[in-house]
Amino acid sequence: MVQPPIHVGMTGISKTYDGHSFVVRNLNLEIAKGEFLTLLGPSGSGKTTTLMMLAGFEYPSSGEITLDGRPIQDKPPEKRNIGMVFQNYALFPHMTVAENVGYSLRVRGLSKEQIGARVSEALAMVQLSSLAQRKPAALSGGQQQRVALARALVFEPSLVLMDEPLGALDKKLREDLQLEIRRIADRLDLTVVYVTHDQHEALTMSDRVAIFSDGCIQQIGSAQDIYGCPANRFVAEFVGDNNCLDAKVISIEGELVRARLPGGQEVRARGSAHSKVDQRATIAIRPESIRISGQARAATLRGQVCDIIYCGDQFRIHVELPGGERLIAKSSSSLGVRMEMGSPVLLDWEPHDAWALDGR
Amino acid sequence: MSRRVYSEFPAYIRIPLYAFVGIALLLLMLPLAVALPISINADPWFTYPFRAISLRWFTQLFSSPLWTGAMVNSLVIAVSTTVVATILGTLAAIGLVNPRFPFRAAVMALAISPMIVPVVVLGLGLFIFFSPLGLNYSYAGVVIAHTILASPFVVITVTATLTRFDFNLMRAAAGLGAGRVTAFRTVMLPIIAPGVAAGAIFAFASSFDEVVMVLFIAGPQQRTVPKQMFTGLREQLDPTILAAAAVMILLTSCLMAVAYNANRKR
Repeated sequence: MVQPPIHVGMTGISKTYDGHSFVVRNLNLEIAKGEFLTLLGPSGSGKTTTLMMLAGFEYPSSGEITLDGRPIQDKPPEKRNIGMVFQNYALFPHMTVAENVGYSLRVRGLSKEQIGARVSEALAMVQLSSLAQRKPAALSGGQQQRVALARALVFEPSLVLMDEPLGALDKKLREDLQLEIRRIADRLDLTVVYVTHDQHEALTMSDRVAIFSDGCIQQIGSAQDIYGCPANRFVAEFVGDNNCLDAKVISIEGELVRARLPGGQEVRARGSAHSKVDQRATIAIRPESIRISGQARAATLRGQVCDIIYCGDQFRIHVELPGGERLIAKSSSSLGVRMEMGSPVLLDWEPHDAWALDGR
Repeated sequence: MSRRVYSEFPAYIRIPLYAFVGIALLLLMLPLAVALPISINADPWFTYPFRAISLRWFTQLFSSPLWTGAMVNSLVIAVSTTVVATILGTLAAIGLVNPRFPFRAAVMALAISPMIVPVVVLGLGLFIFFSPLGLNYSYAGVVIAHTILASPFVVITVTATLTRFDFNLMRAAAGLGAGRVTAFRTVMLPIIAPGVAAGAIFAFASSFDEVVMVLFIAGPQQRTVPKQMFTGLREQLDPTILAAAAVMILLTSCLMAVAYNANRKR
């Protein structure tokens, strides 16, 4: 398979405002041409700062940023030719939709005819041709976001940055626009760096997701990698629901490990290359992977029901283990109805669905 | 936020409130209402009632080279001051709204201090400062002096407008390929224009009726309308002064009305 060429490179990037606390710490990132990369993380994790350094609105304290192999960190934003979509749209309120979209072309000194043709093409792409003469204030949030998208794409940048572009929209509209942005990015073969704190958005839209925390990338990979194979406890807890249990590895059986919980019960999970006997580990297991039953089987864990929450399509059953830890299991059947608070239950899972992560 | 309508207040609050506002406004208008009509008194006396009404003081105002020269001077100085003060004040305001501006509060206080410092002190200081520079008795000197007094009005109005300005728009413009000057001209200036215009009108008005600085700095060549009125008061008191005052008030009121309308249209 031919690797697509590297489009954006960030090497050893750090950002600090005061010299000792780092917003971004020694970041290394390579983005392939045509890739849709999402930076996902809680607020203050450094994902927006990373995006702003790519756009040129923040300057890295150290490190190098390259675009198509050429360093760009000393170039001002207006010379980078990068499209940007802002969270609050940042449309020019005194200009019409068409003037907003055509702004980049006017600044570049294109002729009126060229501008007109490309603006109407861009507006057709986001299905807003009929609103070209409106002012932004007369548009809905979703329409404003489409204008911002058309404005960021009309000058044909090869790299487009999006800073939580759908954050202010309601759920239905957000899902529609997610699909639309992805469709346009694929059609124009754009490289997109997309910042969000919404994990569903990240998992559904991206080729790769980079999980940010404390100014570092905790894990980078496809949505399946991130969700199914978390690299550490932070990723396990941040992406999707995960039960995380402190445990100690007692034996290694091929790619599985056997670990003991503080309450004395033993569980099995997939280990990593670094797993060692007697090491502390975090056992991560997703609620939907836990089987819960009332009768004895080759069960692995015993516990007591301490809460049953009805969520429409399923029950979420909170189980307390003898060591005091709590697990959440999902049950879609009517099983939840038959269970009662305080009743003893047995839990088990396929060992391959659980992960023994290094450290705690 | 729902706005309370005054007619919703109970009468025992509403009536005293209206009365108080009415008296306050009356106090502002009364001196004008007493003085201005004298400009159409046919006799050269400052007394009521009039024996006859005439426009002779206005005719005199516009035919005397002393007064027309003063009016031209006033306009030239006020327009120059407005241009310089508006540019300087707007630039200062843009710098001062940036939270990373070093010693921001101190610089802001310094920038608007001419509104607080007694003008006589400033005028005397400038007079001494200007002597070795040869700026006393020159148009440039008067314009500089008036710019010092007028800039704070621009700084204040433009700062107020900029606090509502979304600086992401400047980032958006830069991202779309606009350099700083282009972005300022095409994005920031059109949006903050009402604030800049209001500041410019205040600057014009503050220069147009300024007398203390002019008494210190201006020579006979730079005699402005307020200075002419001031000398007139001492030397030959006649209602031409009030005709000049009426013209000045009319002019500044027109400017205010224009600014008000321009702001309302947005």
